[in-house]
Amino acid sequence: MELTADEEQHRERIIGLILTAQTLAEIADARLALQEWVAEHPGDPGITDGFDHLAMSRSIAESREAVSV
Amino acid sequence: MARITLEVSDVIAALSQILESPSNWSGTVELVQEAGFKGQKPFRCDILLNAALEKDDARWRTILHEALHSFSQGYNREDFESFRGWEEGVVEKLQRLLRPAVLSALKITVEETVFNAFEERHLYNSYLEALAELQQVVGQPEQQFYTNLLKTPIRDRSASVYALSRHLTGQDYKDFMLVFSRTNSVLKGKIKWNSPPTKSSTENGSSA
Repeated sequence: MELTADEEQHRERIIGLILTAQTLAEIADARLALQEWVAEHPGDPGITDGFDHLAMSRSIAESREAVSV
Repeated sequence: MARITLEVSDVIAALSQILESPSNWSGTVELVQEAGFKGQKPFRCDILLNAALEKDDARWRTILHEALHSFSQGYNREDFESFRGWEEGVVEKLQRLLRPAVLSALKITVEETVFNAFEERHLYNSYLEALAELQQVVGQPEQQFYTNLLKTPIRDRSASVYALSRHLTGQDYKDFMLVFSRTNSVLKGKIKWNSPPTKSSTENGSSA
């Protein structure tokens, strides 16, 4: 998979969003960005485990919010 | 019992032998339809897998990764969240290191290219690069370094690596501290990984 410099930068930004998302809103934003990236770059399987990462982040965020209610 | 549940059970048995350690897995694999993820290891002791993975050779990566979480000490929500890279990086590295031995024990043959496609540009490679730099600076053999970390409670992993520096003195200690402070921030999710500038780029007045 060959990416342009701009695409590489965008990919790094999405990974940054995935790895740092903590609130439900941040997680939803990161998931949307990842979905769009994967749809446009089906030859980039290395980023798809981001869905697993975000699923765990979401479980954690939901538990945290349930405790705080 | 679904075939993939037996596969998880076999992988955990093989890992238990290699790691000489018991798993906390409950024995339950929940196959999730249209999951939106490949695998998950919640803090209860089940493993969740996407039902669509069953016929995918690459599933062994996911099974191994989630199975390894079940061997991880101190796997709880607070510590996992605070030290995410110290858990995900260690587990992903061991997934890659131990996979050949586990698949061989199970008499499973899958071309490495199947896995490489996912791993060459994996989103956890920043965690793996940070851990690799720490492993090199403390000078422990690779498998020993990561296995010891897995057996150390998540919240104590950074301190356990720091403790490995106690025999270092002078410039070696300073070098360790530079690496440790930078990599620990990456592994705690505080900053994104950027490789340090190379000597030549510094000499040329440019930065990486």
